Amino acid sequence: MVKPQTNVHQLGGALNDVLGDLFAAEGSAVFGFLLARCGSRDLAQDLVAETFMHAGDRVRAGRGSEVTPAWLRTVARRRLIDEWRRQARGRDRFERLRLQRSEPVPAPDADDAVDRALASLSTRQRAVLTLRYLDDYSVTEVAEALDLSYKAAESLLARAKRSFADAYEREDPDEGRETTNA
Amino acid sequence: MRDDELRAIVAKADRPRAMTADEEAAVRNRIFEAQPVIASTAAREPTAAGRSAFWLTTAAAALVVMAFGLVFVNRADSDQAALLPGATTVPCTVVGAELADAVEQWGSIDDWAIATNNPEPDVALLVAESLRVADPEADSSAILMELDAILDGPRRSGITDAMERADVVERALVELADVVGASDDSCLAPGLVSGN
Repeated sequence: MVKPQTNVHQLGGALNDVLGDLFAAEGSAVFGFLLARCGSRDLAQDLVAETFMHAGDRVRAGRGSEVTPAWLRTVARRRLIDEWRRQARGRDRFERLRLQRSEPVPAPDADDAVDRALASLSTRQRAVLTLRYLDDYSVTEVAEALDLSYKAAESLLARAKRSFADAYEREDPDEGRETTNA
Repeated sequence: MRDDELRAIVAKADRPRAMTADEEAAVRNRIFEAQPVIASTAAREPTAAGRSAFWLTTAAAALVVMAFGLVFVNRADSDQAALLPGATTVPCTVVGAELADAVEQWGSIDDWAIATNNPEPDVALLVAESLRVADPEADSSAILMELDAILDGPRRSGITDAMERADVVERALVELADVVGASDDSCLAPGLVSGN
């Protein structure tokens, strides 16, 4: 509870300290979490900022204990799913503007075969693949999250798996063979 | 490639990544610039003078809202048949408050309409109409479609936190108002953007 005499700037400073510590501890993890899924550094940065701003709201509301690493990832994932859905909804004029700045581009640190193979996928393929294999969503949940029919999600996932496997083996034939033969 | 193999390979991408110094500075700025503004409204304990000022401001705002509502309903009455035949209008103050509650409780106007047996078109009509006031050239049916998508989005995207749903809708409505050229949020039905 904030005392009546508490200076607003003092409170803001305390909040900033809490947020600063949180960002220092979890910023890279959340950024990596998002970058693995979206492949765009710009978009990942936007969503990291939104995620931590939301965390700030929680802290301010006296619910800072809820802000755990898992909570941050859940919020980040939801923001990203919202973004994917907005991108898919091409008829939204304002979202088309956002889409222009969030075109997925291979990350500069895409220095291994997995990153490069993921970067070769379309946004939709990457979305279904990462939801399914990084976030353990069922096909039904993937379909619901991306506003697809079950069959469409299943088919998109099959294409994404094929494309990823091809790209991965092209990128790193040794690793691909090794894994395939395992 | 088997599923478990694929999962193991894709999992390699899921690791912490460092931002460049510029990127980190930009993100930090965005996060911390937002804080003092919000903190200044959330933190203050009201003084006696503050409470008086609050009630005076509230009373003045209520008068403005009532006046706006009367003008707005009259305008909606004259144009509603062109937008949604058969729809009835309700005061925008009620719509704003109910929509905010709906977003908080159900996350979608569809759920709200079903649960309360309220005719959904009333809300969409009023919002579309208020946006059309901001931009007379705007296509009402396109606005209605966009509103539908905005209000339905949070539910379908699986956001279970009520405050977060309200936040998503609020931000989307502000962006929509910006696109259609509303000079400020007051062009929307009162209470809609502020969420209370």
